[in-house]
Amino acid sequence: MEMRVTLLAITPTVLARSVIVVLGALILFDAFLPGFAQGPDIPADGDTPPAWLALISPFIYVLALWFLAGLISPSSDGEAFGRLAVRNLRVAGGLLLLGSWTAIILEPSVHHLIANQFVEMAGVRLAIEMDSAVLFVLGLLLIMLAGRGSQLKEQLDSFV
Amino acid sequence: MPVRINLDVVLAQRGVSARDVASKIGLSETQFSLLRRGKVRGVRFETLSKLCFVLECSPGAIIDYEVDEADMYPRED
Repeated sequence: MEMRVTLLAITPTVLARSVIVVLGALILFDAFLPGFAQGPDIPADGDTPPAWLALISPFIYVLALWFLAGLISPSSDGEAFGRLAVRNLRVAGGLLLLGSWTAIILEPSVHHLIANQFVEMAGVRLAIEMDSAVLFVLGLLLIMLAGRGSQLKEQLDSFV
Repeated sequence: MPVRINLDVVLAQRGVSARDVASKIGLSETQFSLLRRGKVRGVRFETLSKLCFVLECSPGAIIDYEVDEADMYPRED
């Protein structure tokens, strides 16, 4: 009986964040345990970025999901576009921007530096892919949505 | 926008305190103070109904309007 009560107390946010933690663990296992996933084996040569480098943007995306999970809690601050919800939206949007920037510019540039053993230090490498571009736009939209929501909440609060 | 809030007059006529009325209609003292000074953007019907019930009056006793043609044009803010 006591266990049942405990299970009922799990909020949607806790559930979503548990899934996100599992997702993060799966990404780690996939990167560092060979043969964990059923994907093709990629040889570790100079053309393949080191596992830690390729993990930066996925973990930033996972962190963005963590903050987005805060939005589905009915008790986050009791109302739509409350202070906490707006902060979560802004942070998640910012993290999506940061993650896509990392995937598009930082990772290929650092990979290039590592591949030539820091001999050729000049130039920026770009890896423009559709998924990163979409996440960049989504990040911008989340930040804009947070701003608009904040404005609406302010207007609503000026009614008594 | 010459819509005037006559809450202070009605409160004085009824001999009730602003704090009591605010707590009865479920507004904070700050919100009620803003309403009394006409510093709010609008009043919900729900709030108005509660005010009328507590103060035993009609909306016209609380809210008054002074004709101003400028009301027909968009405001700057």
